[in-house]
Amino acid sequence: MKAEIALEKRDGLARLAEIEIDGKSYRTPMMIDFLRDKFPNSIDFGYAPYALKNIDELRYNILKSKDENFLIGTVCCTPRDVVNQLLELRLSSFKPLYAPALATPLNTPLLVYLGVDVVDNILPIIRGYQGIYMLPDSEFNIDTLKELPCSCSVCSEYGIKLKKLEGEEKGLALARHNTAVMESQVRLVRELIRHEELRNYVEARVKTKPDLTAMLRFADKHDLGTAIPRFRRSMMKPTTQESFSRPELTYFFKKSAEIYRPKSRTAVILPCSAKKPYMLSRTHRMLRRRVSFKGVCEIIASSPLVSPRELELCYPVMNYDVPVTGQWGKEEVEYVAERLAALLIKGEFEAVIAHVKGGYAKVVERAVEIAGLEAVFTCEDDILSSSSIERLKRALDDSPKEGFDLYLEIFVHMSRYQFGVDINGRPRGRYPNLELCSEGERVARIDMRYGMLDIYLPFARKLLEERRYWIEIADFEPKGTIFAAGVIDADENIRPNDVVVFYNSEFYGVGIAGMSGKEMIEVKKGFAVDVRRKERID
Amino acid sequence: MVLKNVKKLRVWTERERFHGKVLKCLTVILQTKGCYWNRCLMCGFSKELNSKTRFTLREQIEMAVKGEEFDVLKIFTSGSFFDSREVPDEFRSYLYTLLQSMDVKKLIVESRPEFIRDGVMNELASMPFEAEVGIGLETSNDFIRQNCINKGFTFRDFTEAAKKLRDYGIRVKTYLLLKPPFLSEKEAIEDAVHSSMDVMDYTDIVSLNLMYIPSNTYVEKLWCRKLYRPPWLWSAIEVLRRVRSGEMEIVCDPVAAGSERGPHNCRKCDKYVAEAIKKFSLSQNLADLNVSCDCIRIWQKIVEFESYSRVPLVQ
Repeated sequence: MKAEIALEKRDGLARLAEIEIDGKSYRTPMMIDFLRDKFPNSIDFGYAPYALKNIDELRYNILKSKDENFLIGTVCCTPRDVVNQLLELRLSSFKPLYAPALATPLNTPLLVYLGVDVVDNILPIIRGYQGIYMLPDSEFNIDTLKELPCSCSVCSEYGIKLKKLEGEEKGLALARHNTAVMESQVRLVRELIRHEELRNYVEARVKTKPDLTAMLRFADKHDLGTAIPRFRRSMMKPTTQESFSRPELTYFFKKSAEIYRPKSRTAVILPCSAKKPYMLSRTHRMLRRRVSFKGVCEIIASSPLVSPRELELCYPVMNYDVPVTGQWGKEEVEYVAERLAALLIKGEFEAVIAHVKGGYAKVVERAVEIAGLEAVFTCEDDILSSSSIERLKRALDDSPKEGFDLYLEIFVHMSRYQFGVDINGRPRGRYPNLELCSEGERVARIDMRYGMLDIYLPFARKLLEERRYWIEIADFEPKGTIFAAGVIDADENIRPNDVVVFYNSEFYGVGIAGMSGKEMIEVKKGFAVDVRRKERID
Repeated sequence: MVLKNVKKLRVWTERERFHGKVLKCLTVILQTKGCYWNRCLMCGFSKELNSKTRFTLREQIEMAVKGEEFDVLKIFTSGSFFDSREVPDEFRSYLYTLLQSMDVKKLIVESRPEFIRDGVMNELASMPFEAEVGIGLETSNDFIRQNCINKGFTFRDFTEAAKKLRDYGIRVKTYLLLKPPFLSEKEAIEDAVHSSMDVMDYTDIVSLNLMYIPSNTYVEKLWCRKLYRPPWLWSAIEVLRRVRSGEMEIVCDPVAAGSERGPHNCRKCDKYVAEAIKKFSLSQNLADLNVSCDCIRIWQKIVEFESYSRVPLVQ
């Protein structure tokens, strides 16, 4: 048997792909239906499960699966073990990962989030024969049900009489129902990947079972490397404790503190707004109409995000939506304060003006304490009240100022964040649809969909010179899509959704990566780069 | 079964087949210095050393037979009866003389194949009572025996030893292990059935041992981490049925049946299914295996799917 996988769309470790097995094509994530399919008989499952590896590696190496096409995730048994083993396998290779007899409708979204490509209905079948009626988010003993909250073909056919069946007929009917629920979950997960919404969904779904929540928390302790995108089209919806440890968020905090170089020695801390970008929100607009922030730097605090004004167009600051209640938990205050402190320290600020109240004020109090600074609190009641505004104005008057162009600083910070290089030029356009020009040519523009910079050929040339986010492709004229087969070599820092520059002996250009740099080097098939613009080399 | 637990000496009487009849058998577990190999993944015998009696082998056997009436004597040493380091030559001679004087009809012992040598066999063959030597082959598959059991001898070592025993007119009993670690329920069944067929020409009887989990063993470590489950009693019945249908004599004493460490089904049916297996072992009548329970359908699914999951699907 020969199986090959071709990537269509990545969402972190999860991926939508096509696997060809013996000439037949399957769309992953997929479920092998053991009530129907036959091909697992040609997979080598080995004798010993993968779970033996950490217990007795010598014997494991003799008895393990030696399948050429699939990574076999025979993992067991605690939430921590399962996560560690799955991620170890997932990060070891880009081969399709099959986790036999592990999936249920309940855990399927999480397993796929952890990078499992292939699941099966072994547990749904066995649980069916044990009298368990499975739903996407719960499980019942069939005998305890008064009605059937499902309309799959089995439930429609039998109705509540399902529980009156006996023996093999009952077992098989439940196995078929459970399978139908699993299948719809797998279809849903594929759709979530297409929309880059899997993490939002998984955070909600793991709440149905403590084990699943534990698994997600353990997963967030791992460095998932370059599979995790830095920019996304989808909204981040931090609604739960696990939202705070999202790898995307962890990356943002680490990177933003790393690249932050404010022009001014004065920081003004402002509260967030529901509308993004913050600057276009009613509060921020009213505030800016009455107070000049010229010459000072702004930092916007919210939960769980803290961002300099310079990065407010960057993912995920541009693309998140939190439940706004004005209530702050203790842990939340500490979490946000630590990150705000990191920015205050990095910025080497001399004056900190906090134009915030309530929970935000607690955050700033704690943050300046961590940073060893003092803050002037200017908000008395409402942040827009005349007395608050007056106090803010006075505090601003007393603080050091530095002349700079905020829009240019936005480009500079985003470029440093995204490419690790500086950028220069003259910003123009109407906020937030800004572009940057230099010597009469467009260099970059804000891509509001992804929360990143889109770049033009002059800047592409600079990235090629500096060997950043480059992809060397075979000699052909790139059109529309570059597939992994055409990639010769690539920068290993590239992540899916990154803006990249590709080149061969005749052409160079700008595109958006569909997979990580490492992946496009290693795999033979699949969508690698979406070409945005190109030019023939003179 | 009468258990006589004198000073930690384990002795009991049971019934044993003897040329189609059922006779009274005294079974003694002699406490020796233990098996020299001591590396099998499921063996916990040597770990019991600290619970050992301080009595000599001769004292142990004297205490065991005292006041007992029996036709067959079965001696387990948890090692090799013919390993002189474990069971000294003088003790064997003493025992043979004792059995002669007691008019015992049959002696059953066990040994690894490397100790089946001409000298000791000659001595045993010259006795008036019938002798039967059990060898723990476990499986005829060398790969499984080496990697999943770590037995340390080959199928060829076994066949050579078995041929020698029979050349001396000594009966051969072959122990097969149902469900070595890392085998799925289905693979375990197939392995036991194949092994039975493979040993057919070398053995007089097959004894099917159902895996249980002794303390402080490798297999216990797997079991604790939920990577191993002892076999279902239905699997044992399947093996017995298929082997017996081939006209072979096969017996099975399900140790610890029904406990979580022992072979078990759904708990509800364990007791009477184990009874059926014991009854069949004495009668060799397939009809004795006609028992049923709802859990047989779950077992069928386990047999179908454990080869994919590689870890137990149901505890």
